[in-house]
Amino acid sequence: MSTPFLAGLAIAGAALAGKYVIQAWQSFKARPPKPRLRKFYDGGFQPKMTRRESALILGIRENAGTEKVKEAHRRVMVANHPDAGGSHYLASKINEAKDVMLGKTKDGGSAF
Amino acid sequence: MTEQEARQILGVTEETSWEEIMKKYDTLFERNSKNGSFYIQSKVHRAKECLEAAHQGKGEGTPT
Repeated sequence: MSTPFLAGLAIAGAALAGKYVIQAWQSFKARPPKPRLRKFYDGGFQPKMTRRESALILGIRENAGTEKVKEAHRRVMVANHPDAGGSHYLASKINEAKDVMLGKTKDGGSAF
Repeated sequence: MTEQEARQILGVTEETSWEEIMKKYDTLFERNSKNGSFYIQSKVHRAKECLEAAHQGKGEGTPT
């Protein structure tokens, strides 16, 4: 009786909703890239540098290879070079991080 | 984080003026956001927070 009418309304409603969904999706895709709002790591450096902290300092994975470690070390060092306004403390941490990553990589990373 | 470590991270001394400290913070923060790691950026940020708290504490004078 009025079923085709209702069906038509439902389809129109769905189409309208779909249109808005598509618009929202497009504006979402086209949004200006915002810096990700990550929570900063707490506290200072660890008293004894671990492989995990080293990887974090260099911004690489714990299983990164020698080349990646050296690349990352160079990059992070440039950003924190004492001659360019960085601090010696950070520079030494970055160097230590590289040593830890490379030291462990050489002997396969096993503690046993 | 201790005040001492905070100063070491930013490369300042006890005599460094607050303005200088902020300049160092800005420089280090920017450079690490571009080329450094987020982890180092965090440490720089936490160092500034720590020194800021100490600075506010000193600036208050006698507590009422």
